[in-house]
Amino acid sequence: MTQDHSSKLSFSIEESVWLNKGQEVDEIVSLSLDPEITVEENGEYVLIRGGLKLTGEYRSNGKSEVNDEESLSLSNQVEFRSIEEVTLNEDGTGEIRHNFPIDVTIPQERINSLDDIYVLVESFDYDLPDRGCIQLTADVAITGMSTGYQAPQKVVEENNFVDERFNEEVADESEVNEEVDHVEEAYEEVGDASDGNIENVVDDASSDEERTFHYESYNEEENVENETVDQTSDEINRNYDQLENDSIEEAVEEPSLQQNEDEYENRDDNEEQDDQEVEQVADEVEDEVEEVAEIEHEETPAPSVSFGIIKDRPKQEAKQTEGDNQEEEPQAKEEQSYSTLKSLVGENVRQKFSGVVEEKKRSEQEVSNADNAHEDHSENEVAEQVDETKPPREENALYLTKMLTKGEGEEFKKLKMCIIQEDETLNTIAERYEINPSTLIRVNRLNDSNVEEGQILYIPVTQ
Amino acid sequence: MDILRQIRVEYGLSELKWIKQDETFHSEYGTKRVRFWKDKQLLLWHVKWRDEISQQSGVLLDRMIRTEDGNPFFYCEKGWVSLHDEIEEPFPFNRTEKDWGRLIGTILAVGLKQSDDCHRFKKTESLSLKAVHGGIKDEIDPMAKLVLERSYFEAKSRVRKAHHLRDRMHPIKLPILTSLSKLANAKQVFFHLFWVCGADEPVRSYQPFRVFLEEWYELNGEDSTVKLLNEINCYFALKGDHGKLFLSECLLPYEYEDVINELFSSNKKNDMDIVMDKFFKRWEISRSLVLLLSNWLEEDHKKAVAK
Repeated sequence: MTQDHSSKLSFSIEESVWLNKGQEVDEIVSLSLDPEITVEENGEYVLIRGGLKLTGEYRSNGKSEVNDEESLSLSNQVEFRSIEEVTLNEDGTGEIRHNFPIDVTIPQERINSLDDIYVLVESFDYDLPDRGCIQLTADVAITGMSTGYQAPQKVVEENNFVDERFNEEVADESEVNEEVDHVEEAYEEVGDASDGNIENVVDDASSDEERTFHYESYNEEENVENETVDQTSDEINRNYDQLENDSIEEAVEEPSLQQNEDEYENRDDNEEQDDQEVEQVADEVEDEVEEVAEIEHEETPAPSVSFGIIKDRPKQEAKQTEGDNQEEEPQAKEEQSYSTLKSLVGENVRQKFSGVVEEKKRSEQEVSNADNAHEDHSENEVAEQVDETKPPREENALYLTKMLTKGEGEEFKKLKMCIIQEDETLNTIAERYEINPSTLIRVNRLNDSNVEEGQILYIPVTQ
Repeated sequence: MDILRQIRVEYGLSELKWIKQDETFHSEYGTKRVRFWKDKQLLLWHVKWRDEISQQSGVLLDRMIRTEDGNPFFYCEKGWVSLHDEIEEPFPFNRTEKDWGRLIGTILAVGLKQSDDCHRFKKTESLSLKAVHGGIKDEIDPMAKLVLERSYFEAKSRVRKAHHLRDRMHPIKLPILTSLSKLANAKQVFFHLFWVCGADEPVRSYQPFRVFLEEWYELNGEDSTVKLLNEINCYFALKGDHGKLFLSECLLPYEYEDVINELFSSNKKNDMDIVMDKFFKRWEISRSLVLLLSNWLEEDHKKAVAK
C-alpha cells in the first residue's frame, strides 16, 4: 500500500522468495532489509535511486522436512541456540540476497532540502509458508517531502517496470526481446494474482489530502530464479551471459522450474491462450515505450516511484557457505558500537563487520548498474498501479490482465493514472485525454459518470 | 468501622496492632496478613483451591483463617477480607525436592482436574512476536539492536518449534494454575514447607510452572531439577503428553518480549546493559531447561531402546 501523507510516501510490499531444491530453509538465522539509495538533483526533479537490500542467512540441511523432524530425538527437535550463537555468524549457513529496486522522482517544489530525504523501512517481517519459500512483508516510507505545493495538474502515469535483472546485470540493447518476455510473464502473473511491479509517477497532492496506493506482489505461482551463486562480479557476469543466451521461449518457460513445475504445467488452456495474447501486447509495448518515456518528462513534475520486480529476481541468491566466514554483514552501523557489547558476542563479530566495507562498495556499484540499466531499458518497462479505492489486489490484477490482453480490440500500450481535481468531471478528463467517457467508466469499473476530487482514474492509452 | 476493630469482632482476636497498614498486623496468635478482594469469585476459587491442595498434598498453605462463624472471609467497606498466617522464615531448597515435588505435583493435578470446571480463567495470551519485534527502536546501542534483531529469528524459530510440538499431539487439557513465580514464597513452619499462594488470577496454562521451574533451575542447578521433576512425576504424570505440552510452553520466548518492553516502554533506558544481561541469562536458562526437560522426557525411551 502506498500512502502519500503530508510529508512522506509509504509503501507496503509483499514478496515471496523461492529457494532452490536442496536449499530449503530449516531456520532463518537472520534477515534484514536495508535501504541503499542515492539522492540526486536533476533539474526540476530530485531522483531517489537505489534499492532495498534484503540480506539474510538461513540454515538448511537440504533434506526433506517431515521425515527429519520425526526421526530426530525430542531434544534435537526442540533445541535452540544461545544468544551468542545467534549473534555470531557461523559456518554452514545459507545466504539470502535480494534487491528491490527503487526509482523515485520528486519535483523540486516538494523538497525542502535533500538532507531531509530518507528511505525508511518502517516495519519488516517474514513468514515461512513452507521450507522452500520465504514470504516477506515490509512497510517502506520516503520522508522529507514538503506539504504546501499544489501541482497544476495531477497525473499519475505508469510506464516503467524495473526489472532487477536489467537494473543490476544487463546493459545491452540486444536483450530487449528478453525483457519483453518478462513483460509477458508479468501479465500472466497478474492474472494469477502473483507478482507485480510498479512505477508510479505521482503528482503532488494537497497537504491534507490522503491518497493511498496499493502495491503488493506475490511470486507463489511462479518459481523465481534462485541462483546459488556468490555475489561477485564474476557471477554477475555469468548471469549476464546466461541471460544473453536465453531465448524468448526459455525465458517464458522459466517459471516451470523447480518445485512449482507441476503447477505450472497444469495451467488450463485458457491461460495458455491468454499468454499468447499477452505476447502480442507485449510486442506492442516494446514498440511504444520510448514515447511513454518522453511523455513522462513533458507532462508533469510529479513524484514517481519505481518498485519491485515483474517476475525475475536474479538478485535473489542463496549461497551455502561451508566452512568459510565470508558472508557480509548488512548492519554496517553496528560496527561503531561493537566494542560496547564485545564481551557479549565475542571476536567473530569483528570478522563479520570486516565485510561491511566491501559490501557497501559493491552496493554502490549495484546502484550504479541499476541506474544505467534503468536508462537503457526503461522503454521495456511496464507498470501497475492500484488504488485503495479499487478492489483488492487479485481482482484488480485480473482486471489489468483483461484490459491489457483482451480489451475488446483496444490494445493499450500504457496506462496513465489521473487524480481528479476540484471541479473536474469524467467528461473533462475524457476530453483531455481524447478518450470516450464510457471507456473510462468501463475501464475504471465505475457505476456512473460521477467522479470525486482525489479519485484516481486509469486512463488507457490506445494505439 | 476500622478494619482492625472489625477483625477483632469477626475473629475474636485482641491486642491487634498494624505492622504495615492494611497489610500485616500483630496479634496474640502471631503475625497475620490481611488480603482485600474485589472479586468474590476469585476469592472463592482461592479458598477452595487452597483447601484442596492442602488436603491432598499435606503441605501447609496460607489458608484463609476462619472467622468465629466458620467463614473464610468477611465483608467490609473495602470489599471482602481474608486473614492469613504470616511466616517469615524461608524454606530451604537443599534436599527438599520431595516436599516441593509433592506440592507442585499436587498443584498440577488439581489444576488439571479444575480445568473443566473453571471456564472463567482464560489461557495466557499468545505471544505476538511480530508486534514485539516492531517495538525495537533505533535509539539503543547498535550492538544491542543487532542482538535483538538477530535473536528475533531464533525467537520465531522457538515459537515455530513449540507450535510444531503441540500440533503433533492429541489435544489435551491445560491445568489451571495460579502464580508460582516466587520461590521466596516458600516459608518454613517447624521444618515443614509453608507455601504462600498470593491472590493472583489463575491462568489456564503451564506458564506459572515454567516460571517456577526456571527459577528452581537457576537456584538449584540441573541435578536438583531432575530430582524435582522425578518427584513431581510421582503426583502428576509429567512424563508423557503433559510433559511435551509443558516443553512447548518452555520453548516460547517470553524473555524476548520482556527485554524489548523493558528497553523501550519504561524509564529503564539507562540500565540497558543490565537489561541485556538479564535477557542473555534468561534466554540461556530457557535453553538449558528445554534441553534438560526434553532429555528427561526421553529418558525412559532411551533406556528402553538401550535394552
